[in-house]
This record gives sequence, C-alpha cells and structure tokens, in this order.
Amino acid sequence: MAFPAMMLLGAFLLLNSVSAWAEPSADEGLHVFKSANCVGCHKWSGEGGGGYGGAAANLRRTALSLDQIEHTIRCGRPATGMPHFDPDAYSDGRCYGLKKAQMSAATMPPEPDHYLRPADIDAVAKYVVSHIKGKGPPTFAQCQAFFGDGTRACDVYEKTSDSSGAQAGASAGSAHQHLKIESAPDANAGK
Amino acid sequence: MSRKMYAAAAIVALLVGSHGGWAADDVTANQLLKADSDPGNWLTHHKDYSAHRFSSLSQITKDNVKNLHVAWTLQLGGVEGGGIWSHGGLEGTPIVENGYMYVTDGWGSVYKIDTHHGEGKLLWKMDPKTDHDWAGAVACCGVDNRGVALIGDLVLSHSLDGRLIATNKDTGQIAWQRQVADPDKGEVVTAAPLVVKNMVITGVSGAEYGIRGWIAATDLTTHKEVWRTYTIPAKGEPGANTWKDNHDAMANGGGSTWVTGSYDPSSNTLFWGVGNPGPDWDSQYRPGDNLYTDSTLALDVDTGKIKWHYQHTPNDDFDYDSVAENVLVDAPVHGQPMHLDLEADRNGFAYAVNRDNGQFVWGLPFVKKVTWTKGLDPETGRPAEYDPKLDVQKYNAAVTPSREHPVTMICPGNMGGKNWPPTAYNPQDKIWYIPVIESCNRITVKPEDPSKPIKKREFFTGGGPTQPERITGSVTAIDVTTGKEVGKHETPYPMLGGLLATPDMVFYGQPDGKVAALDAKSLKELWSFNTGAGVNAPPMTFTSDGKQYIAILVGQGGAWDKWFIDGTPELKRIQPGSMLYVFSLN
Ligand code: HEC
Repeated sequence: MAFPAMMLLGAFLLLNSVSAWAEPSADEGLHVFKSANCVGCHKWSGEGGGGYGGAAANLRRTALSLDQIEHTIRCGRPATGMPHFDPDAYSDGRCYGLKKAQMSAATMPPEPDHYLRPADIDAVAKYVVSHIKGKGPPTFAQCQAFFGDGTRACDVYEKTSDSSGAQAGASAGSAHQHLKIESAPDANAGK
Repeated sequence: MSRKMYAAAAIVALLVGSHGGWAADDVTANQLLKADSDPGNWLTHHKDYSAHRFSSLSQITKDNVKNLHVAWTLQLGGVEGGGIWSHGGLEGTPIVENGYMYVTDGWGSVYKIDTHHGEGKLLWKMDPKTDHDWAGAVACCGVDNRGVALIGDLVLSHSLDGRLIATNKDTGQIAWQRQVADPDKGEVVTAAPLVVKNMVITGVSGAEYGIRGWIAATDLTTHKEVWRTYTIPAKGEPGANTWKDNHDAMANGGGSTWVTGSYDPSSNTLFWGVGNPGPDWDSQYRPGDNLYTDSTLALDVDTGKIKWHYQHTPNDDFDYDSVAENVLVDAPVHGQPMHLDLEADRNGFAYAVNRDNGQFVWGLPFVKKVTWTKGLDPETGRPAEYDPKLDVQKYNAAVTPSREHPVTMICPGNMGGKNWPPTAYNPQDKIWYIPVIESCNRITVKPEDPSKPIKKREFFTGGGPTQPERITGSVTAIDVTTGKEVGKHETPYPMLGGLLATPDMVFYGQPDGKVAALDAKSLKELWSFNTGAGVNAPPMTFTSDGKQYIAILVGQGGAWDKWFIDGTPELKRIQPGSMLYVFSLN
C-alpha cells in the first residue's frame, strides 16, 4: 500500500513545486498592471510621458533589469511620483537603506492606492520585462492584447501601424458602435 | 378666462404645435425661456438661460435650515474605471420636471427618478455603453458628466466617448444618437447639453491632447449638425494672425469648450467660454495672443457666427481656461443700467463685460493671492503687463513659466481661481457668489518639439503641475453693482462642486463630504451635514408634491484625486462613491 501513498506524495510535491516555481502567467501580470493602476501613470503601452501629472518613466525604454524593476516597484522612487507598492518599504531599511524617519514629505515616494503582495509584484515586474521593455513603438496587436476588442481604444494604431495590425482590426468582430461624425462646415469661414 | 389669458393660451398652443404636438407633460422651448420663473422645476443645466443658479423657493429659509435633514438617498453606478482612470465620479446637476428627476453618472448613464411621495424611486436607467478605454485614455481630468437637457419627450445627454444621445423620457429607450466628438483625436465630452430653440448645443474637452476646439449645434428634427464654430480660427479667418509660429500650432491649438454656456433670447446670442491653448505650459511653442483661447465668445445662435470675443489671458502660460459659465445679469453699475456678462476666470479675476458689445466694465481678483500679474488695466481689463508688441507675453516674468524659467510657483495654481464648478447669482440682492480654489502650484515646463509630429491621443501639455503647497477654498461674494468683494467664507478644502443661491442662503459641498448652507448676507454657516464621500457636484433645489427639497450628487471624481491631491493630503482617505442625496425639512 506504500506505492499509492508514494504516488500521492509525489503528486503533492509536484503540485506544490508547480505553484512555487511556475512563472506567473502574463495574464496575472497584465491583471496587476491594470488593477494596481500602473496603467494610470505609465499608460497601457508603458510609454508613460508628461501631461498633467508630471512624467512617469517610459518603461519601453527602461534599462533596468528584472531585479531592479522589482525593486523599483517595491520601493517606489524617492522624490518622484513612483509609489512604493511594499507597505513596509521604509520600515527597516530594505529600500535604499532608508527609513521613514530619515525621509521628508518631499523625498518619501507616494503611497499607492493599494499595496501589492510579493507574488503580484513578481508578476507585474515579469510582465514589464516580457511585454513592455524594449518593445519599440506600440502596435495595434499589442494594444488589442491589452484592452481586448470591445473598445475603439486601439483604432489609432490600426490606422497607423503595419498591415498585420490592420487585418487584425478588420477581423475583430467587436460589439462597439462605429458611428461616424458628420460635422457642419466651419461657421466662421469665408468672412 | 380673460382676454389676456386666451391670448396666452393661444401662444402656448402655437408654440407646442410648432414643435410637433408634444403631449402636455413635454418640455417646450417656451418653458425653457421662462425657466427662471418656474421655481418648482429645474429645467436646464444652470437653472435658467442666464446661468443664475438661483431659486426663489422659500420654504427652506435661514431661520429653519437648521432642521434640514436627509429625506432619502439613492445609490447610483458608474464608479468603475477605464483608460487612465481608476474610478468615475459625479459632477452633474440634477434636472427636475414635475417631480421627475434626471441625473447622470460619470460614464453617461442617465437615471430617471420619481421623487413623489417623499421618496426616490428609480424608474429607468439608460446605459449608453460608453467605450471606457477609448474615452478614459484621453479624458484629461476624470470620468465626468455634468447632466442632461430636456425638450419635448426627450432627455438629451452626452457620453464621454463623444456621442449626443436622445432618450425617450417615458421608456428610457434611446430614440436617436449621433457622434459629435472624436476620441481618436483626443476629443471627449463632459458638459451637459444646452437646448436652444430647435437645437441642442455641444461643447468639447481635449485641449490637453492637441485638439482644435469647437462648439456644435444639432437640429432636433433632422438630427443633423446645423453649425460648428471652431474656437481656433483656420488660416485666413479673423484671428488667425494671433498664431505667429511657422509650424501650424493652430491646428492643435486647444480651446476646448467643456462647460455649458448661456443664452440671451433678446439678442439671440449664445455665450460660451473657451479653454486653454495647447500646449498648456509652453507658450513659446505658440507665439501670439492665440485667439480664441481663454476667451468668452458671443455667438449668433442660429448660425454660430462669432459676434464678439473677450480674451482674459492672451498667450496663456498658466492653463488659465476661460471655460466658466457666463452669467447674464441686468443690473445698474454705479447707477448706470447695464446688460452684463459675468465670468469668474481660472486666472483669479472676476470680469463683467457689456454683453451687447464685449466691452470691459469691471474686474477684480476674487482669490486671496495673485502673483502672475499685478492687476488688470482699468480701461481694458487686460493684464497690466500685457504688451501687444510682444509675441510671447511675460506678465510677471519672475513667476511666469517659460523655457528659460522652467520651474515656477504660480498663484492661482493652474486649477484656478475658479474651475468648472458654477457660481450662483442672487438677482434680488445683486450679489454674485463664486466657488473659489485658493491655491498656488508649481509648474514645470517641458518644451514641445515643433519638428516632431503630434501623437494622437497623447498628452500635449508642454509640462505639468505639482502641488507642494496646501490648497484651500472659499465662497467669495461680489456686489455686481460696484464690482467689489463684499464677503469671503473660507473653507478648508477647495470648492470642487459649485453653488446654489436661494433668497437668503448659499449652498455648497466640499470634497471632504460636507454639504453646507451659508447666510446670503453674512456668509456665516447656518447648517451642515457630512455625506461621508467627496462632493464634486453643485446643489440644486426643487419641489415635489408642493414640498421643497435640496439635492446633490456625491461621489469623488474629476481631476483632483489624480493630479492635485497632494495639495489636500487629508482627502487621500476619501473613497470613490456614487450617491444622490436629497434633503428636506421634517
Ligand atoms: C502615480 C503614478 C505611478 C504609478 C501608479 C506607477 N508608477 Fe512607475 N513610475 C512613475 C514615475 C513618475 C516614474 C519615474 C520616476 C523617475 O522620475 O525616475 C516611475 C518609474 C517606474 C519605473 C522605473 C523605470 C526606469 O527605467 O527608471 C518602473 C519599472 C515602474 N515605474 C513600474 C511601475 C509599475 C509596474 C507600476 C504598477 C505596479 C507603476 N510603476 C505604477 C509613476 C507611477
């Protein structure tokens, strides 16, 4: 009877090791990128950019390694708008050797809307490396992979990016309405 | 029936007839003209065409307001996020006709609520299925919608993704809709529609995304566009010479029109405010006065032709929109009867101009601190340092952001002064109340490169603000007959919701959840209630079954909690929400 027990144990170990070691799926990372509102500052494409809220970094052009990206997400970046997603980032010197007491309101990175668990930080860091870093200008296909096809958010890429993108756009049987604008001529022209 | 009454009935019948024989309950163009003398209803966005937001209802007075309490509440939807926004909020003014209320949430769903019998019952909800990511990615300042307009058996509304939607009042079914704005170009719509005659008028948002702004009128019978007036002239049109660059900056010159305008039937004129030029903080990208940005426009309502304009901040370096509502007032100024157009500008100054010709009458700062200019020219109302010979204005050069001076503190901060939240005017006392943001903020210029094409749906701002200083607010009262400040009630938070005036009080809400009433004369607080969520919308009042109510939408939204929260750190704990509050006595 030892044999089936061994098998069970083996299966248990296998399962356990799968959950402990498997790469987080891109879906998980994408989910965190949206729900932790990375998208709110860095945009869907990771390009970030200026605008009302000051400049979030362009993650497509980041030179950071996976470890450094994860570190940045955990610790935020002092004196910038990048939040720290580890609630204890400045409790014990784990981030840049700094503790809360040593920091001012101006240097302390902002708190995020909500903190992330280590597994989520891992997932989103890997997502940044696999889907954003070094990807060049955003394309229609990447945009659709982010948003799905229930939105016209990607139409601008459809019109400007390569032909494969354009085909993907044409075949997307999305439910959203494509109303056209019929505007009147310029009321102040020809005076 | 007297002779006179017969005649009146005949006129009403004619008017009704000319609009296709609407049923007795339908809102007519004539009713809209007389909305100011219809105290139980609130038929159009700013209460009346003059944008007074004054109600003569007098059951709730300064003597009994202490007994005001929650009569009922109604949970709404639309808090979900989209694009760059983590949640939606409520900025709308409820519209009430015969006890039926119409409100919108940030994503443009319309709710019809029966307010009879002392309770609020949802009759229907029209969800326009707004494309959240398409619109939310290019909404500079939140998932916002400021409400509906009524005409005939229709409820007219906008959706953030650029549609004008007509919904049947009884069934909640969409009767027709048309696309007016194009989110592919960075255009979205947040303003409530305005119905004038047989047209509905739309303003657009998007001056942070390189749009060329406009105001458009749609015919209610044909559903076709009657006119479209661009707020930035095309080459060869009047005003084009106020764009002096050689890289076609006017093609992306901004000038959005995202607050509902006002209308003077006696002169057939529509008054509408125009927003900032783009890029917001890099004025050297666009030398010249940049008409018609930061201006009030007076338009022929039938054709959209510009009759006159009045510009407040030529070659703006500060993001000082002039989108604010224009308040139309007939009052004597220093004894002289005047037709006035009042505007409280983001730049911190309140202006009265003669609305028949656009001539400056008076102006004064309504904020405690102005640093960008030392004041207004008493003859023209221009900023004192304005120099027509300069292509790029310097104003107070020590604080004006520029490529040479890229990090500066400006007062008021770029949100104002006064933002979209509406003022209120008491015509009995001739006092105008302004919901003020008392602020300074830091601008960092990041020059735009004219040799690079502008990217569609990307921010085009030439820099951005940060909030190193605390931001507060006030209700500031101005005597229209003298152009002098007569009172200021300071508040711990900025005014992000707007005002309602009644014969002896002023009502407002704060972003920490407080709703309050002030004495109209002393500005002393008489009553308050905390709703427990952020107030971002103006109060209004109406009667149902003969009883007076005060209503206000509650739910933090807009630009504040994303871009400006550091100026009000305590507000970080305010959670998103979406709730209608209705108050009454006993
Ligand atoms: C409130 C806005 C905001 C949010 C939310 C935000 N970021 Fe950032 N992020 C920034 C800013 C601003 C910077 C640039 C800091 C600087 O100037 O060095 C930045 C920098 C970074 C960097 C460093 C890039 C580099 O090359 O230096 C990474 C990686 C990053 N963010 C990832 C993320 C991820 C992943 C999330 C979501 C979990 C996220 N950020 C959420 C604003 C934000």
